[in-house]
Amino acid sequence: MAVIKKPQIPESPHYRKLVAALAGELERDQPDSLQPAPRIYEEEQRGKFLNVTVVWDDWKEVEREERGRIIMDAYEQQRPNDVMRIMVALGLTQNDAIQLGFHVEIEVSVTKEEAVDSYVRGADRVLEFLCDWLLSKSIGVSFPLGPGPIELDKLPREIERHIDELFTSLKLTPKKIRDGDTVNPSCIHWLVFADEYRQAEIAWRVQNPILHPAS
Amino acid sequence: METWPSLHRAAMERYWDGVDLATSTEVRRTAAIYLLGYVTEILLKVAFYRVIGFPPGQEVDLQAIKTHAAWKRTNLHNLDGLADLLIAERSSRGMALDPAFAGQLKACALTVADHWRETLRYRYTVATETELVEVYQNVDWLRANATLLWS
Repeated sequence: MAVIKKPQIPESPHYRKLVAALAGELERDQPDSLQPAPRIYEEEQRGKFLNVTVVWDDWKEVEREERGRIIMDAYEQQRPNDVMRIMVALGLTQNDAIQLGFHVEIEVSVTKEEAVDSYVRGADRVLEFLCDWLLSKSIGVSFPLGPGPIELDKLPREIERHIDELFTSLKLTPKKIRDGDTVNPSCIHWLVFADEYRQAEIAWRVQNPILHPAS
Repeated sequence: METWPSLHRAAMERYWDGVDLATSTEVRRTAAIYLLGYVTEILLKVAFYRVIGFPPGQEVDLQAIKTHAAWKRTNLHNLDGLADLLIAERSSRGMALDPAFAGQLKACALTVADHWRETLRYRYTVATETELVEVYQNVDWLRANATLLWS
């Protein structure tokens, strides 16, 4: 019988670029929260093995198998000592991650106008965003609340009340920042977590907070 | 008496039953998914028993999985748990899967699990075409790569 030779599947055009970008992200100590960077999750397993899941939209057009190879090549470049520990290399997009029930953080900025609008008009706009996310399973919301520091305990109570109602109706658990903390308003983000049971948890998170003691 | 060869044959039977339902002129998509989900479960279990060295003629004790150190779930129908078990077992035996392939396996199990539970039989629901296609594609991938799971 004749030998049928099948050539190796060629790399996608962006293969090297994605490897370099991911390797760069591995090199970085702190994620740059303002950039749409890949989210890299390393779960330690029994026997010191690692399951690596990378959530990244830049490889939307790349086959899943190739995403795994990109992860392995990036680790080979940046963390060669860990390569042999990797048991699973799984590459997902944000939508994949949410659909498959991974714990994932999602941030999407809205325009300044939308942010101001949401603040001025109260909770409706915020709820609209949150509900849109829950329906579409695709976004979280990040919005600056205005010029200069604000005190969280002076946030409109109406917003909190609406959010509490939303949490209650969706059986969600809110996490709260301490009342009285003040933060850089451009650093307030909504984070949306989807756990393996596909219940979403919506939480406040403050990035790079400028904390002052509550008076 | 269930052995891994008999389980494998059952998986193939359920696969073709599922394909029949999926391609039926009647709308039998939920039933197709119900059977195809079991194909995933059985193929993962077959691979596990082969990896741990069960001879073809030895009866498999399905409950024994629960006592296995790498088993982290409670429900033996948990597809993600079964994929994790297989991946971990192979690694601990020095016959780890290629991590990229293991990632595909995990994604496959999770995708099927996204649409399938063994309790689907209790639900009055009509699966969408998209759900059926997602399940079928992943089960078919698993069937095509079944040998790689244990070899």
